[in-house]
Order: sequence, then C-alpha cells, then structure tokens
Amino acid sequence: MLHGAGSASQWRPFHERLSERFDLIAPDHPGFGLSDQPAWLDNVQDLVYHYLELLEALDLERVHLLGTSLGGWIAATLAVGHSERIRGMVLVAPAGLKKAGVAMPDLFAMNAEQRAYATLYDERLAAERAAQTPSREELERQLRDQATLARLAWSPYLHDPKLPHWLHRVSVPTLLIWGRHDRIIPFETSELWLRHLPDARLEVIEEAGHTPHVERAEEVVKLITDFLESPLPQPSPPRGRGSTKSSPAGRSASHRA
Amino acid sequence: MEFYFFHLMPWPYLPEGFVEQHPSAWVTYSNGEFDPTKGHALYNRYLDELEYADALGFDGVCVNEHHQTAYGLMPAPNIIAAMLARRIKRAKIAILGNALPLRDHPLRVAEEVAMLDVITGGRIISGFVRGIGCEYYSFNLDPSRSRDRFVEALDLIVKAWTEPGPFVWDGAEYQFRYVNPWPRPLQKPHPPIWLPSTGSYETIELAASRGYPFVRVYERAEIVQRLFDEVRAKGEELGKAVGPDQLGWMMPIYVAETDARAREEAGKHVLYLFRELSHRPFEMLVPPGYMSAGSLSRALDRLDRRRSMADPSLEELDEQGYIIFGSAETVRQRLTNYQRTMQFGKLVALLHFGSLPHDLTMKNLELFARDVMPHLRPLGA
Repeated sequence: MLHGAGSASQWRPFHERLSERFDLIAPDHPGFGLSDQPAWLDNVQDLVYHYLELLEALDLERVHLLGTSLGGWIAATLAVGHSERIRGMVLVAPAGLKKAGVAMPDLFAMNAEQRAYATLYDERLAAERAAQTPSREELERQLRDQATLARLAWSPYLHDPKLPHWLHRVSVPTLLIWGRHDRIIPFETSELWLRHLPDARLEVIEEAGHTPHVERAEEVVKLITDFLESPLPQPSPPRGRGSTKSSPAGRSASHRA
Repeated sequence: MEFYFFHLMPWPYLPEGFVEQHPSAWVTYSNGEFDPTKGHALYNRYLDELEYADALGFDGVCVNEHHQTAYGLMPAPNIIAAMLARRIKRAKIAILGNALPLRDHPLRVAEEVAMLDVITGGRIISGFVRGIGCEYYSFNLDPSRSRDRFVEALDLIVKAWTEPGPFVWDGAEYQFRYVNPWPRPLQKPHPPIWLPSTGSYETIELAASRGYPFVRVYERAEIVQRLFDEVRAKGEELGKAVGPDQLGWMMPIYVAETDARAREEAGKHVLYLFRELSHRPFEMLVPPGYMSAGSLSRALDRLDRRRSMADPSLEELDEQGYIIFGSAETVRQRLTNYQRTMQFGKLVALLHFGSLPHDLTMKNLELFARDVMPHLRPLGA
C-alpha cells in the first residue's frame, strides 16, 4: 500500500480490515512519516525505483499495488515501467494526471483546518479533525511530510504531464475508486485515467471526498476485496525476456511485513 | 555608523475593512485594484523621496524586491536603482535585495548589477535574498529548492564577477557552458554583498563565514539582539570576527517635534504597514519546504507571538523595538542605547512607511538627517 501525502504512519480501520484477508505491507515513503529524508529524493520516479528495490529486497514477485492520492501516482508510474512485477493495481483518488479545464485547489496554501474541510465530505468529521491540536512533534512531522510533497509535486502541480502518454504500457487490470465529492483531485479526473489505462474500471463512492477509504472504509474494502479475489488473466510475459514466470491466480504472493 | 534610507514603495490605497474582507495583501489580492494613474504619481513621488535623501547626506538609499503584492511596488529593484543611478550623485544605492532563486539565470543579476556599478562609478551595494515564501507561490517555484538555488546562484555570481571568463559552470541547479558577463563590476573585488535576513540559521552561517553584512528586517529588539549575538558567535567559531560594520538593522523610524506629535502624525500610517500591508496567511509566508527543520522549529516557537502581533498597537510596536517614534532626542536616545548593547554599525531607516504621506515623509527625512544622524555618526566606529 502506497500512502497519500497526509497519511504516513497511519494504520486505520481500512488497513486493519484489508489485512484480515490479505498480506498488507504499508511502508512510509522516504521523506514521510518515520522514514528517512534522503538527499537523492527529487521526484516520483525516484520513489518508483525505491519501491522496486523494496520489492526486490523482500523478494516479492507479483504483488498488487494499492495507492491513494500521491501513492496512486507512484503506483501508476511503477506500473507503466514495470508491469511485470505486479498483478494488478487499485488506485484511490490518485494524483498524477490533471484534466484540462478542471481547477485543482492549492493544497500548499491551505492551513490544517482548510485542508480538513477540503479533504473530507462529512462536515462533522472535518470539524473534528480541524479541532485536533497535534503535539509539537506531530506538527513538525506533518510539516516535514508537506515539505517532501512540495519537493515532489509543487510544479507541475500534483501531476506528471507525460504520464498520459505512457499509461497504455500498464498491462495489468486496474480498479479506480473515487469519491464523488473529491475537492482535492476532482472526480472528473477519473475520466482521464479511464481513457488512458488499457484495462481499468471505476467505482464511485457517493458520499465521500478525497479519502473514501477513510470515509467509507467498509464499502471500499469490499470493492478492493472483490477485485483482488476475482479470477485474474494469465500474467503477461515480462517484456524483452524469453522465459515467463507464472504464479497462481488468486491471492497475491506477498509476505506479511 | 552608516545611515541608509530604505523605501518599500507600498500601495497606500487598501480600502476600509481590508483585513476583514480579504485573506491576503500578497499573491491573491487582485491587481485589478491597482490604479495606474495613482501609480504614476506614487512612483514619481517615492523616487523624489529617495533622491532627496542623497541631498540630505544619507550614506545610501535602498530599494527592495517583492512581487504581486500591495506591500511593495518594486518587483524589479534593478530598474528603480537604474532610475536613481544618474540622478543620485553621491550616495550609495543599495539593492536589498535581488531575490536570486526567482530568476532563471543568475547571470542576468550579475550583468544588471555590474552595469549599475560601472555606471554609478562603484556606488552599488548588492543585497541578495532568497525571496520570502509568498514569492514562491507567485513564481510557482519549489520552495524546497530555494536554499540550494540561492547558494549556488550566489557562488556563480561572485565567480562571474571575480574570475575572468569564459568558464564553465556545472552545478546542480544551473549549468552554463560559457560564463563571461560583460561588463564586470567596478568595485573590487566586487560590490559589497549584504544579506537581508529574517534570521534563519543558514543565513547567519553564510553571513559570518563570508563576511557579508547581515541586515535584520524589523523585529522585536530582543530578537534582533539575539540574532546579532548569534552572527558574532558564529564568526568567532569560524575565526572571522564580526564587527559592527557587518551588522545592520532595518526599522521604521519617525522623528517629530515631540513624542506625542510623532505618534499623532505617523501612528496610523505605520500600523497600516504592520496590519494591512503585512496581512497574509502563515502558509503563504512559509510554504512547505521553505525552511529547514531547525529554522522552522524556531519559527513555530514564535508563531503564537506572531499571531498576537497580527493586530499590534502602536505602544506595543514601540515598546518592543519594532519601531522608534519620537522627538529627535527620544530617537537619539533609543538608538544610542540599542547600539550600545547590540553593536551594529549600519542603520537602515525606513523613514517612509505604510501610508505616510509625502509631506510627512520629507519632514521625517529632514529631521532625521539634521537632528539625529550627525549625533549618532560616531557610534559603532
């Protein structure tokens, strides 16, 4: 699971429920949460290589990638370059594409309260979150996470202008999940993903904003579970190589971290 | 002690109720509100004030850079400096400062400042800044790259000024196959480089290690004291003593016939600077990645205090040393006391501020030049 920018080091009910059925590995990206801040981190491609190295280090061959927001952008970019390493992809309100003419609000200019209201559909939840006062340590960590996001996504804002051009290289099935009332990355952006991914379908979560896996966790867990357990096509042979590695359809062959 | 007249060239026409009705005077306050006819009169009046300072005997006049804001109308400080270059005959012209990361090509800054230095006969002071956080929204520049870009641009400019070209520059931020700017500056080794600062650790280190004068912009006096001490301590640590000529303080000063008259005449105009013109959200002033963890921690410590200073009273500003308002005697006394403990040698006086009208600005300049400057000249020597 590749987290979004505001969600490092958070194990939510969503994670707990998913991990009941699947092996779920949820690292903090470099520069976020409890992970180090490396000097080499400049862009999303750096994170893609980092995660390829993680998959190699953990000896994981055909995992499913689950990415939310920034994590979705990372997952999609990894899949463009290296579909042979994954079985399939679930993208929840991913960053990475920007639809022309669709305004995206400036996350960086928001304070914590504004962010809470922009992220969550449920105003009561937003008010609760806005009222939280983080400890000084938590605050510094949040600011550090935002700084890393700035490094990755300040300009071009939250997207890669070349990604639409190469998305057709994703050769595994993708499930897109989007909150109807997403005010961070507007719902209309999903149309662009559907247009460019060769094998993708969209599930809309009606009463949710940018984090449907938080606001409608059960519904999202069910959609993901059904997707992961559905019969999968034979994995395509890795490009450019003679031999094929086949894995049994069904559970992803990942390990509990 | 050296005396400089610093101008911010603000827009004095923000409407009644501005702070309540608008989130910011920076970046998002529409330029539709800028009236070019008023602007024409304003710029020319401000230029008259700067030229007057030359006649009054100030050591120098200072121009400044800010973008997309009512706070200051000089997005291009080198243009203003160029307008003054031939009409100001004696005083130095200090550009405080060119915001290096905001320019794609630092060599443009090297060229422009060199031109100014040659044309003025070596009277340019070249301040360099990173640009405050707001500028990074205006230019859509990644704030986390700001410090690296600044330092590399600075090094490139200094090398371009001091080492005959052409040479190659292969940096992380800038790559040039031919560095060879014509003209080269007149002053040797190059125009003095000043570092206006809001007190980050990195700027303190840079100022002390390179001997560049460190100029603190208006702030509580005790914080200015602490920062000067830190620069001196850093200098000592590096074996490079930091003297008064390397420490500058920029602050609003108003001289009138009496203390009461000073407050009466200019109080509301300086409040306009601290309230309306400085009105912007914290996130805009400090975008993510703009400050290092250590400097950010320090800023957070002061955040509560800053919020409470969003609506300061004149007494608070005066008491805490953000400003000095009073009769000539009061101003002399306060500055003398500060100078004794802080040991700074460059006073960068903001003698126009906020919405101060022209006649009061000219009076302020005259009274300061006649009744304050000569008395304080021997300080910091």
